[in-house]
Amino acid sequence: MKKIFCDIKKCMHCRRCELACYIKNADVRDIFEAVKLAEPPVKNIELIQMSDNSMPFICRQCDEPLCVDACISGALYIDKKLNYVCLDKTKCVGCWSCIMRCPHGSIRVSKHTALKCDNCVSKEKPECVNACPTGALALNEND
Amino acid sequence: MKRFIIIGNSAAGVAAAEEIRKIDNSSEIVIVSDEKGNAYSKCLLTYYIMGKISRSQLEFKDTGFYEKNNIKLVSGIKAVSINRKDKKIVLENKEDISYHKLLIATGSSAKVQNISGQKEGAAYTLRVIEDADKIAEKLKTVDSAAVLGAGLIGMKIAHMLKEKGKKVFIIARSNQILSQMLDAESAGFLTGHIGKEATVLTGQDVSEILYSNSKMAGLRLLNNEKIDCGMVITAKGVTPNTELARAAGLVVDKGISVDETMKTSDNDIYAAGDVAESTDLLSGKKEIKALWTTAVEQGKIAARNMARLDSAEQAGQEIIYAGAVSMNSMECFSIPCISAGSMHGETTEVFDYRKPGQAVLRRIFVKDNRIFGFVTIGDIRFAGILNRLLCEKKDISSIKNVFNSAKLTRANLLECIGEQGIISSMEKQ
Ligand SMILES: Cc1cc2nc3c(=O)[nH]c(=O)nc-3n(C[C@H](O)[C@H](O)[C@H](O)COP(=O)(O)OP(=O)(O)OC[C@H]3O[C@@H](n4cnc5c(N)ncnc54)[C@H](O)[C@@H]3O)c2cc1C
Ligand code: SF4
Ligand code: SF4
Repeated sequence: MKKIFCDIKKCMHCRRCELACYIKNADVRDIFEAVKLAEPPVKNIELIQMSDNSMPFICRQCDEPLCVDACISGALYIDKKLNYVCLDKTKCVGCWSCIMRCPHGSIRVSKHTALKCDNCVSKEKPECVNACPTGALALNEND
Repeated sequence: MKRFIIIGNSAAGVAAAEEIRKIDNSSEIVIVSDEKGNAYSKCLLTYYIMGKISRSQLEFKDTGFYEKNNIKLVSGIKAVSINRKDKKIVLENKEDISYHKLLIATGSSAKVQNISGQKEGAAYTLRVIEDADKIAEKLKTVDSAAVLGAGLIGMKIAHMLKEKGKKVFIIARSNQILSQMLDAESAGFLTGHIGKEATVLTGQDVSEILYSNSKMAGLRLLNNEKIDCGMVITAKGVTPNTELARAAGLVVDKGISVDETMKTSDNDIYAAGDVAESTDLLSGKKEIKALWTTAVEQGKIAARNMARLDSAEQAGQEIIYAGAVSMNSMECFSIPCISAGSMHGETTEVFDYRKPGQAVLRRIFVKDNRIFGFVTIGDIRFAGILNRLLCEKKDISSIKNVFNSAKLTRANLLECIGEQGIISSMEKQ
């Protein structure tokens, strides 16, 4: 299964990945439209300042996803074609069992449902990867 | 041909069937259920009554799940006995089916409480879809309702009643709400925030149902106080459906006893979910954890052992269940709430964090530099990582000093776990 990876030597901490994810999740064209929304959009990728470096964090697309096992509604599922862990927001009832279980803290709350990264399954490439100006982010086969 | 039989078409049974099929694509898999139709999630019943989701959305698997996985579903028929000698189960229509390995995933039933003065159409329980339909029908005729029991299911029912526009009373025998899920202080905090939505009566019970012109008019409480309500829904916990196992002579204590591979006292019979007893990861005691997540987890472990262990080359390669941790998650009257582990007894240190003026509380219970339990109310972002620190028994001494402040971040939690982020392994060298 492919996962999003980061070459931290190349990461400039510019946060364009975060912006791209905001825009995608808000389903708007650009950041100017996104900031005008009544409810601020939520991002799935997060640049986190660790003690020695900062690096982006995102859903790990686990091989044994605990979030899927925890989901009481079947909203979380494994996509048949690419094996990505995906979320069907129309099924989610907002019980937060997935948040209780995700060991990486990768699931967010957005407009009363859960929100998680699905590697932008409906697009050719994830938006964060497209947006990364240095090529630090890449969607690669799990190594 | 080998045949796996699973009794129970719900969280544990369905997860097990799916898992067996992943390992073994030729053997026969049969699921037997006394409920009609495809599997559905009981956890969704309150949302179904609210009208938030439809009947078909109760089904947590895709349409065609059984066909795609080549699983035979025998539904609407009860299994009445297990003949261990001939390795057969007997159905209520007298038919029998032989098994190679059997999984008992018969779940649990709502405890019923007989209230004095109870007549038809006053007291309800919620466990299966028919119960939900009956409650939805009755709700059309009442303006207020009481819930007996303030556990997770009770609180979900109370929330549903509120969403349906009813006046709600929550009556708990214990001195707090959510006593399995929260410590007294967290429960008090939460009660303070939901007090506007429902009347919470703790340390109380019902003594009698009151009628006026043969219609339910209200309840009399133990302290003689009266409340006006048109119906009462009891949510006083669940009883495991162990009759089949007991009658077959399997070892049963609180639930069906299983070893760490989820095997019962019979080598060819496994049990999982609400009906099975498992070891608590923290206390080492045998307990039933009546939760969806645990049912799925146990169903999968049982399935792996059932499907893999016959082949000689895999003997001794059992999948071991490390044990279950109590963990609960819910939206309690629009306040998200997640807790795990133990909040009583063995703790030596408690770390509190509150956001003034907001319904935000975090409590972390620590002993010997390990997290034994935690509660997050209002802000649940860190619950998953806290849970992992708890389950993996990590030493948290490096971050303990920020547990009671806003300085606790995802970064220091991830660092404590040793999480390397999304750097590919090539670059890690
Ligand atoms: C209203 C409600 C809300 C809930 N909310 C949550 C929640 O938010 N989070 C959470 O973690 N849990 C929740 N739960 C609990 C959760 O639903 C259970 O833990 C879970 O369903 C257990 O799954 P199971 O497969 O072990 O058994 P069950 O779901 O009980 O299923 C067992 C099945 O076996 C069948 N069966 C029993 N005996 C026989 C027999 N002899 N022959 C044939 N079939 C038989 C039963 O009819 C049933 O369909 C909720 C429960 C209810 C009722
Ligand atoms: S959300 Fe969490 S548990 Fe689910 S696949 Fe992503 S990292 Fe794994
Ligand atoms: S919050 Fe939604 S996606 Fe997460 S477990 Fe609950 S129903 Fe499933």
